[in-house]
Amino acid sequence: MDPNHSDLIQMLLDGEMDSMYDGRLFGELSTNGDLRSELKQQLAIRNEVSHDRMALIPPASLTGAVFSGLGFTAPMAGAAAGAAGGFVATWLARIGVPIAAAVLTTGAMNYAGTLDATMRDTEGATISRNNENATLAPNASTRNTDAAQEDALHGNVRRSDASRDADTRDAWTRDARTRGTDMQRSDASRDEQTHDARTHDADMPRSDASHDTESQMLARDESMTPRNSEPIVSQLMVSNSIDLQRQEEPKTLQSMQLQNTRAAWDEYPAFTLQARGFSLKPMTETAVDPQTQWYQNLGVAMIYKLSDHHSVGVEFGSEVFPQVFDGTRPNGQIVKYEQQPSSMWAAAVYRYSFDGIGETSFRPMLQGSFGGTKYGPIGRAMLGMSYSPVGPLSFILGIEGATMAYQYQQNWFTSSKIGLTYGMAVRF
Amino acid sequence: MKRRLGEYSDGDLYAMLHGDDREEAFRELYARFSPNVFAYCMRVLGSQDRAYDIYQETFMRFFQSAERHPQLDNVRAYVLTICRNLCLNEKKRSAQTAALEFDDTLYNPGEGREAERSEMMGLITMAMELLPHDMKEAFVLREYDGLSYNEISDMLQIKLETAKVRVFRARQKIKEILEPYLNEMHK
Repeated sequence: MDPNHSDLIQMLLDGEMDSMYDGRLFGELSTNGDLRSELKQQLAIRNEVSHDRMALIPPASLTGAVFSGLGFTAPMAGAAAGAAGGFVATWLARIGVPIAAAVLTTGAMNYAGTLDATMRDTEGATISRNNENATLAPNASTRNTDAAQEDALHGNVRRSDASRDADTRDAWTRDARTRGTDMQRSDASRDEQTHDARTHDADMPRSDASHDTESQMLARDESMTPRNSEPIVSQLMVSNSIDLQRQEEPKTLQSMQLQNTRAAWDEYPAFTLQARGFSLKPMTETAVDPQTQWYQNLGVAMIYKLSDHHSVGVEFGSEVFPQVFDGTRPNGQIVKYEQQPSSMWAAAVYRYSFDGIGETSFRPMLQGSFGGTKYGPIGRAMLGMSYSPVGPLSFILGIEGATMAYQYQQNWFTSSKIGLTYGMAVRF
Repeated sequence: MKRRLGEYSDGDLYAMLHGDDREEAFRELYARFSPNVFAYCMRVLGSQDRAYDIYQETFMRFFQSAERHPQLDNVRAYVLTICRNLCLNEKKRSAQTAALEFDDTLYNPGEGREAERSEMMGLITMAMELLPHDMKEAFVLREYDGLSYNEISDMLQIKLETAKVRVFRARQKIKEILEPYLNEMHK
């Protein structure tokens, strides 16, 4: 049976066109306007059905119901949406990426902070050890000096009294308290020896005693050691004065430590990488569902700090703007269109940062940006606050308004949104 | 080395529904066929609530059927046959309680489409609702599920030529219904 025009079009649509009919169909199409129109209509229907097929995807809640009905774990999106009827999934889609970015950046910052802290700890530990050495050194030297002096001074004592010598050696090898106790014992022993010496003096001939000075007596008579024990007390006093000086040393070292802790981001904080999410409410009402993308309502910016107050940069983002507009068909019929397409945008950014609030890490800021989407120009304004809790990391919260303008049939329309913006930034 | 599930054929995955990896196998089969089943339910039944119920029931029965049929050649046709039978039962049931159901999804298909496209799709969906069930079914299987005419004829147990004719008539009918609108569009 010879196929008619409609059959040929069907064969063409199904990809089953026989080569023997190719020439005939295209020949007819070149001359027959009705045939061209029919093909155009069939292609339009097929194109529309194809788009419809792509859009017909089972919702996550339904997937979750299927899997839970079989006792299986639902796929990620299905589980989240199925558990909360899609509400959670919607919000996860909105804030999931900023949160993920925040977690990643916080992790990176935590790692950087840990490194910094480790470096500080290492420095501190070194300094502490130095302090300790510095602290211990006087003790050691004092102890050595004292011991030497003690040995020198007590040389005679050792020779005259072996038990006291042993007590003295022990005293200098123990801690201060023990040493003090021993020293008391030494003093007691010394007092006894002083008494012995005085007795000995008393036994000396009075003629010598009346003419010689005490020092001369010391030089002449090695047995008069009790008088030589007096400087021991003075040496201990010197040792104590060294201890007082020792307490001042760490203060000097600590001030040096503060100078060493300046991080790179404090020295060169010119660039800021910022990621933020938008939770803006459209001011245009529409019944059409918005187009959803995983990266929707997100913005990423690179900002350069010109001075303490002024910054400039660029920002890229994706957002849905509801569009409600009128159009006129060729026959004069007025048609109202509604759509909520997702659109990427890029904008130049200017930011003014006010002085910090008191001594806190909060800084109010004003930001304006102007750029474009594939539909038309876009402008944004934000009044917000940045909070820098640690290092180069800061968080942003603000009120934002955005307006996009678009054109249809030579007429301009606008779509505005207002709401909250939130995110985080890293200086580097 | 263990193969990725995506590399298995439909038949292999169906056979795995008996084994220890049945959950993973079902997950992969679900990913492959869920758009087909969902499109069929939505467009043949025309009601979201009923479509959701049948969709869920289809996959439950599909999984349970693995115990009875260890091997299958054309898994997609099989799961669509389960879906079709459930839809036919559902249509019979609903025919007894004839009620006019307004369904938003018919007039707002897809998301984020341009307004004009949504308008046209709404008209196509309405036109499909006006088709006889056999035509609509053949049209959905061909245009939405991408089945070949041979697969359609096997599934519906009709001759190949009959399958072609049904799809052809469905297209013509939809075109006729939309002709005034399409003519305006292309003016």
